[in-house]
Amino acid sequence: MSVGRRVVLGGAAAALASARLRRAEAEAPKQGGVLRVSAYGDITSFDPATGRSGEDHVQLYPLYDTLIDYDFTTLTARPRLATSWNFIDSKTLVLDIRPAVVFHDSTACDAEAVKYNLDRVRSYARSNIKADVDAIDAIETRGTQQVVLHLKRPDTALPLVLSDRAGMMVSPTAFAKYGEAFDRNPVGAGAMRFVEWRDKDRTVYARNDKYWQPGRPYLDGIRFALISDLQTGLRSVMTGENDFIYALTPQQMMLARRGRDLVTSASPTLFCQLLFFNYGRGPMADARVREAINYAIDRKTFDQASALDLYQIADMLLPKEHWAYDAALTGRYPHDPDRARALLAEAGYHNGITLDLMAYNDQASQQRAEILIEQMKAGGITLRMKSGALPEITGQFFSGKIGDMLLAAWTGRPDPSLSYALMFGKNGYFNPGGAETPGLEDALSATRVSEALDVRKTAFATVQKIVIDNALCAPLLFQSQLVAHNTKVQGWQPTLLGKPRFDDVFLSG
Amino acid sequence: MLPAALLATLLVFALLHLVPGDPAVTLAGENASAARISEIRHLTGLDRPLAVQYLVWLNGVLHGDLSRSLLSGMPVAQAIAEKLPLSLFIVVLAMAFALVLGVPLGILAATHTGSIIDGVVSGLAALGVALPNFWLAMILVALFAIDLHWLPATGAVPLRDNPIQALRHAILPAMALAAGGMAEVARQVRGALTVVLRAPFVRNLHAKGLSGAAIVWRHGIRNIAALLLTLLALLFNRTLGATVVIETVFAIPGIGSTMVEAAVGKDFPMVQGVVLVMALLVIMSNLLVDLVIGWIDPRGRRSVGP
Amino acid sequence: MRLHPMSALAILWLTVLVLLGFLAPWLAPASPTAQNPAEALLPPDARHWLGTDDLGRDVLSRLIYGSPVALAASFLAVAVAALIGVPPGLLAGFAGGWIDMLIGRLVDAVLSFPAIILAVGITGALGAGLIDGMIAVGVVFAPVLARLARAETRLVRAEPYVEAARGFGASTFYLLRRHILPNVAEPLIVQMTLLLAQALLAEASLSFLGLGAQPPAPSWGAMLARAYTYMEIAPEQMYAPGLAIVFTSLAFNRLGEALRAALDPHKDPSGHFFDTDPATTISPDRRA
Repeated sequence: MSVGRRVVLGGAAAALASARLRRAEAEAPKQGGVLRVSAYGDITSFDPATGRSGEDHVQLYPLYDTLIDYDFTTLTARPRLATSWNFIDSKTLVLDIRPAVVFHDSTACDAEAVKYNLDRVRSYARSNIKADVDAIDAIETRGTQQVVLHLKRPDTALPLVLSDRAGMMVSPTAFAKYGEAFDRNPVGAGAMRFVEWRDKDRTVYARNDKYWQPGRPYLDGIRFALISDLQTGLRSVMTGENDFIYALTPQQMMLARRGRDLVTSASPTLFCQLLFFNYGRGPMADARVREAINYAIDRKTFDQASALDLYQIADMLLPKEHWAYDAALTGRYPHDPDRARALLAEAGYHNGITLDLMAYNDQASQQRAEILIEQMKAGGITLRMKSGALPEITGQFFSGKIGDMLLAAWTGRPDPSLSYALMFGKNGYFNPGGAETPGLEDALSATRVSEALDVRKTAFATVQKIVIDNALCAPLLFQSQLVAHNTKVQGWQPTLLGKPRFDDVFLSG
Repeated sequence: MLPAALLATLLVFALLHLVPGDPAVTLAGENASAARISEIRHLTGLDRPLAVQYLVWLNGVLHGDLSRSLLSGMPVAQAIAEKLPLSLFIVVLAMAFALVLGVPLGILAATHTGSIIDGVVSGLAALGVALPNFWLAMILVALFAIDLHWLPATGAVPLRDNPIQALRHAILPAMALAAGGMAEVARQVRGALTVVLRAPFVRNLHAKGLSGAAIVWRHGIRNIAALLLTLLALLFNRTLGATVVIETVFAIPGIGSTMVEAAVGKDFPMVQGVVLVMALLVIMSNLLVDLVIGWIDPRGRRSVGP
Repeated sequence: MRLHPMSALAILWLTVLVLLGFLAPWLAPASPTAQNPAEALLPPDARHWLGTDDLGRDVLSRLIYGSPVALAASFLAVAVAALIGVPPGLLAGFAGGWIDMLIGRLVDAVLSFPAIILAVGITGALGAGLIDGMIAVGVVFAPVLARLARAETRLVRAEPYVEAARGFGASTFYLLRRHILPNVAEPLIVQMTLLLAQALLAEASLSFLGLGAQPPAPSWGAMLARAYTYMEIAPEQMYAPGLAIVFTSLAFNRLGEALRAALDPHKDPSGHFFDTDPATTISPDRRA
């Protein structure tokens, strides 16, 4: 591969950086120091129930421990505040709660607190995650360390749901005290406690001395510098104003790899760039048109041009590292512009077709859109582009008002059943046309019946096959989590979810 | 004064409601549903008639309450109190640069009309007005931050936290903002001073044996002080506006970027609060200038046109 | 009238830009949109005189194709400003009284908050895009022209021949069209020429914020925005589009000056290069 002089340079630096990384890993964990992270933008709310962005988690994780955790590399469930869990029948889930855990304000994090939290998520008027725990019918405590969830219907997605926002335990005392103001005054049971948040400026955490895990955290505190421009954020790490930055673009990664004393890491994530389709009306209601779009895209070149080959080509909505990935489903839409034209002709568009592409107005999105416009030309598809700020474009497209497709991304959910229901379910918010796909609803419910991973995997393969065969979207690339930090930062581990966690981080020197 | 500022907020309120997009959609988050969105619209009062929404806000303002941001829940007054000083510092510094460079350049040109110096100043002035300030900002960052590492490329530090760091962070953005103002000041000073220096009373002063420098400083500047002040008020307005783009380039969490972000996210209380305060600032600066001019030049010789 | 050499240069530059617009397909070495990821961000060389951008497109070709975009954007914005701003300005200046009050207040309100913020807001309402963006800029500039039209009208209104015509019972519309407009046209035309430069800069700013020209249309401002993303890797990308904007905006200003000199030769003959900015032109009240 040759993408010009700069990339070649970058490759050499990368080899150097990984050598440095290996050397660094040998060091033993050490207490102390404040980690300075460049985070891109404000959190939407410090209340896990009222927040609204997948970007919030990086700032939520240190404050809130979840009931259940996910394995960083495979995303399977593992214990955290719940030491174990068990479906005693398909509609009853029993959780054993870790003893002697307290919130930052010394309130006990026991069965009663867990019940309070789950009830809060379900009944708080401002809760944005009621749908996540919709399957829960009633919650019962047994003694101080056991909680029983009675379900309305089988839902084996719940354990992983409890590793996300719904499982983040907040202090009942603090929530009762602050009410709505809890959004800005968080109290959890995580390794860090909240000190201050200055909007668009910084968020400061200090070590939770009462943390349940002995010897943890290593850090005395974390300070997030809220820098919405990544380029600027990277510059701040290169000049030593910050220690760590995540979510770099591939172009910035090249630059970071050239930086002296910077360690970089690229790891796969669930974060999927894709074209959402409004397949409820017009030419997009015709599966052949949607297939033509998929054939017209040259994903390999797209990766090269927009991501310098640092991302992973997406055939479906799960990357190959995920437990529910099915290799049999790959390669359904190879790059084939002739096939695209033929399909269009078959659908009655002999002279090609013109469609409306919506995209966001940041430079990376504009660049991606430009590449797609050029690629689709060869497949007989002319894209008319309309771009704007994210809230406007998102609102316009998903309300179904305008646009045939939207160039955006899906941040992924701990349990894949949530993603598929939201994006392709008849009532899914991200299915703007509201069209129903035959067989999909049943296939979706089937994914939530068994707890056994292999059974669930087969069920997901069915769902994914329906989505792919009907070309309900055009997956493009899985973004890699591109991270750069200085050599002081040790012990950082990437997660497949793509949301950075600092659980094991310590500072050397 | 307040009525004009409120008129501005009414315009903005109307404008924002023409814009497609709905803060409730943003607030509903990643697992949004139509039901959840309408629930939020009800919770936040966005389902009430527009007139009611505006009047509720207005009533709050008249009682000293700018209400809270829809998106971050932060009191708007507090947000403004935190962001505005950062922007004002840069704006004031930029205007100081504009004056410190512009006035001497203007005087030089006026006292050397037709010479090479005049030509150079003219050229500089023309260039200053024609430069896109964000481009100048990029060049300054490339040179002073990336190549030379003299000054930080991004961010801002509140003046009361650390005055030296605050100044270091503000220098490049202020320079980028100052170019247009500098050109303006130089041009106006030259224009007005040329007229003054040709006036009969100046010839008398020359005849009395006063030196050229003394005439310029004692009589020339005093005669154009009113004009300079008026110019300053106008520059203040324009520089405040230009901070929007400059704050983007330098990632400064100031009032301009707050405003744009709020406008884009349809955070009505935030946008209206900022517009109100900005309009008040501009109007107050005009008023202040009028007062000062009235004080130094009671005959009101100042004239602004068109 | 003797043409100042700088004015000649300005006119030459603008003529070249117009020609480039028409002749781009023959003059440009490559297509402005043809991508080649294998040749991204090349420095200038014999094949690509100004190098290539992030998608391997020829920068010179994009610059050439961008010139009609820049010119059209500027003219569109000023035309919109004139259409919206001049009639109410004339009316306010002529009618006086409460109409003047009302229009004056509105103009003051619009001018009391920063132009670019207003433009961003209006683009929100209209949607991003070159035409919508320029309409937004036009709306923002309209009060400047309205204010000038009002001031000039008030001066002309007091002239004896207008008073006389009014005495004979001529209609307001007739008076405005027949007597006022021709007499206030000159300063307005000068001002509009100067506004062209401002419009160009506004287009660049909006495109920089991603609200102007839509990809893949080559816009100088959008090119700068992309160059900003690659500033550390390929700093040379930001010079050519920036210089193009500066030269063009200088040329518009110079043209405005030349027009002013030609149309109103009595005014401050020494003021070459000065008094170019429309929004803040402060001058001794020459007719008082």
